[in-house]
Amino acid sequence: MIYSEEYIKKLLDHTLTRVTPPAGAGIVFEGSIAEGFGNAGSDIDFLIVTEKDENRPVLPLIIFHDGKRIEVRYRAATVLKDQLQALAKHKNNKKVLKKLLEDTMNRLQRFLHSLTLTNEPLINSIKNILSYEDFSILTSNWFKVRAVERLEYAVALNGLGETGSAKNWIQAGIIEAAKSWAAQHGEAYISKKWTFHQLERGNADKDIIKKFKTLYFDSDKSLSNDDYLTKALELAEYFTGEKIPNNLGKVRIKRKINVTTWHLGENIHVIRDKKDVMLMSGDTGKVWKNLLFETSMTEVLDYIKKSIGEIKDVGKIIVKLQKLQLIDFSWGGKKKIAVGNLFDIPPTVGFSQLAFDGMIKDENGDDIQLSPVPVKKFTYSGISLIFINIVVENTWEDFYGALKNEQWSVCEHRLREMVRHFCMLLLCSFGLAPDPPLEDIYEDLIYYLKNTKKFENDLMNEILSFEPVIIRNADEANELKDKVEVILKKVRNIITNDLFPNCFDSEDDWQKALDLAYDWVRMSAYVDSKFPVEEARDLLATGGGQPHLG
Amino acid sequence: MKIFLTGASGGVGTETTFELSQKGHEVFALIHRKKELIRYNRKKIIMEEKPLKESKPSDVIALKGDISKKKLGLSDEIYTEIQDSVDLIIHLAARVEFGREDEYYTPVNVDGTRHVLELANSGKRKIPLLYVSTAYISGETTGLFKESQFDVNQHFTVSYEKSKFKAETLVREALDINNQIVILRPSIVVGAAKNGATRAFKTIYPILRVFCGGMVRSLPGEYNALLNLIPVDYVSNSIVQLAENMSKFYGRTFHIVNDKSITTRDLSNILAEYPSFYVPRYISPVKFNIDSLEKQERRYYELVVYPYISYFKRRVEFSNEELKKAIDMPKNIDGITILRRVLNYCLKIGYVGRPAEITLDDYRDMANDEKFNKIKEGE
Repeated sequence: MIYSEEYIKKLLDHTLTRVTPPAGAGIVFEGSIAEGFGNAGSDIDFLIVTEKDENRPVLPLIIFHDGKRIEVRYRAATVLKDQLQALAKHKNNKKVLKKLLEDTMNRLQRFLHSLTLTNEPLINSIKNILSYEDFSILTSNWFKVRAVERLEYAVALNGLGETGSAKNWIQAGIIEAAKSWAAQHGEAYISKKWTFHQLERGNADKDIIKKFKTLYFDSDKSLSNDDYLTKALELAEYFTGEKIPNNLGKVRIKRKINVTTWHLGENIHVIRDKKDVMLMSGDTGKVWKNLLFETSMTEVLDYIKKSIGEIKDVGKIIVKLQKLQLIDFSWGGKKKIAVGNLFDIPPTVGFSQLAFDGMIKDENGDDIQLSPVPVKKFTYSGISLIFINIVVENTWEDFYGALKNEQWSVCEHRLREMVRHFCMLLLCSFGLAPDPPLEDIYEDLIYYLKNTKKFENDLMNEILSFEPVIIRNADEANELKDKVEVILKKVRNIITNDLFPNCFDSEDDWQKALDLAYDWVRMSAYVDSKFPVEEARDLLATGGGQPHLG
Repeated sequence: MKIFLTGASGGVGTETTFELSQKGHEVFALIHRKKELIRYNRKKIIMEEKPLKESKPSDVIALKGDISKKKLGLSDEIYTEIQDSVDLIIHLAARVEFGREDEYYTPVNVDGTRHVLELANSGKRKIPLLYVSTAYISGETTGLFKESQFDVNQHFTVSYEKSKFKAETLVREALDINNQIVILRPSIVVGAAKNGATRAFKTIYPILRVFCGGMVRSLPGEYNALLNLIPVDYVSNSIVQLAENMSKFYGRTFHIVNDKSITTRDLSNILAEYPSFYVPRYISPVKFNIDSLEKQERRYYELVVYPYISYFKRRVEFSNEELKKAIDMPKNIDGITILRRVLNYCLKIGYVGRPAEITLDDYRDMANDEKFNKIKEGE
């Protein structure tokens, strides 16, 4: 230790002029310096062990004295005792080890290896629950489990062509492995900053330390990615005794139950955790549709190649799916590899979201797009979109009937209704499906959509300036009808993906619309979303032919 | 016990034969075509070829026969020997694939049962009979169907069910002359409870296959129809327990069914858990128009899905209170879990989910399980 025990006690005396521990508490000195590492710049760490759980703040109290930064933390004896007893009980259980948090291990190690300054009986009664030797063995196993998992993940990443990421995980894996070896040799300090010192103090072979340094700092640039990994795995085996083959075939894809795949027409939509909707297209969509679960990764890659041909970066696509938490990896089909920088993609924003056949693809965007509209609203809006379109078709039918019979007020009413439906369609397309009654739908449209890019084409003005004129004859009716048709065409341009026909003028198109409606119903049934299903179902049930052709 | 068992080569028959033999019973197994009995886990059951007289405990002796024929196609000598020696008949043999005309089922399911009843009742003494029917003799009944119920004026749209109803009628009528009869009605029998393993890709399997592969993407159906799935080993286990305690249950009927049916909506949701699968859309039955299907899809629909179509509308639940009181039931595994296991198994062996590896010929013969039985033992 760089300071004498007396000096530490002096620092404590000063600290106690500023801090008053509760009666019956004990105080220990812990951390880097207590561990025999540290330097003049290191903190002085005191831990006050209170008899009862006093609900003290987690953040340390900081005092500056004699050019030193003194940190004072609190911990309840009951908490420490419970944690140590649990550890003592489960020290050989890998599953429990895997779940132990680094923070917990860190706090326990610091305490167990601390220098007792006051109330020795209390402190010893806690320390005696688990000897430091036993704790060190447990720590070694804990590091081993972590090392193995990281390296297995590295094997997966490397094999799948994510060599950059793989390197990070290789380094993460070998340092955990080195820590496992160190803990086996009495060096159980958890933080990694003193790892090399720990190896030296544990009398590790000098050549091994050299190899470790070379690999950890990636200083031998002549190594290929595979050689680098192989050497790292050999070193890890030396440290932990665990042999991990560099074999992608050991990696399998595990299904995640709360990830489901739905087709809206031919468009693949994935729902994650019943919350998020993603659109998968391009190569990613193809790979997604050809994933095999519980099958060795090499076989999965072969299968994908066989069924859809050569795909660039297929491995990287699979890694991306794992990182997006749409699949898991396992080693040998058994345990899940529970590491990986799990990330998310920013939602696609800036234009309308929904068309008849699902999320609108951003042509310049990624193969996976996350909708900013949560899934229940997404499905509700989607089914409303189809439903309102069917209503529009019925409204046309009414209009033509009235036109034929020269019922001018009906013509006028129907056309005015039509434009209100257009407002609803536009709102639905943005995932803002309104619930009837819709007396102020125009106002809503202005409020929500006026600054949206897609409306630069004056569509909004056309809708808003659509003031019904009084129809007195067939010419006036047809004139107004032409105007409404122009608006309808523009509206449908917005609510239609390229793949879907722009009108309902043929039986085939109508059938496609019906199929899509059922696709939406299917997805809505999964997320239990509210949707105008009864009305929609009624219409769907009677609507085999296009109503106005009728 | 010496037990004569029909339908030994079927999924339930093989498991039952195995379990009975494990318990030291002597099984005289009537086999129509197959030369060997292979369990769901691909392990073979060793069969003896020797005269019935020489059988020893745990022996399985294969008897080649045909239940559609008088005296089950057996020689007079063997027929009489069975009548004289066996302690119990278990009648499992039936044609279970759907989509055929009445004439297809009658010889095996109805006449076959008549022939088995003759075997049980025409010898020097009456032989106890455990008859395996189906819970779906309920036909198009809606609501709860109890073990005590049989003829409720149900209507049939599936010839298989109608034939089983007729057969059960014969068995019930026979109670007048032989009261040593027990009836067991399983629901839809699927793979083993623990891992969904099977070697009989019948009942729901061909449907799962065409759904998963996207061969049929629309069908008339409701989201709240009910399907009751029961693992094959649960059925065989119940048969064995009843067989060993027959005299306690003479004259009674039991359901071996899942406590928890799945809905057709569950089916849809579970299929969606597998990215490579397609999920069928259920079209309102009044609206479904077969002409809207593409030519190829229509063929698959007519061939594979149509025979089972009423299952996508029915809402029938089966009670199993009587069986629960009668035997030690293994812990129920809910239908959703069973379905996941069934799908995982099918996926693992390539029965579903690998369209690139399934040929058109495979699809033509949906119930052909040979290809998938080539997988090595224990896999």
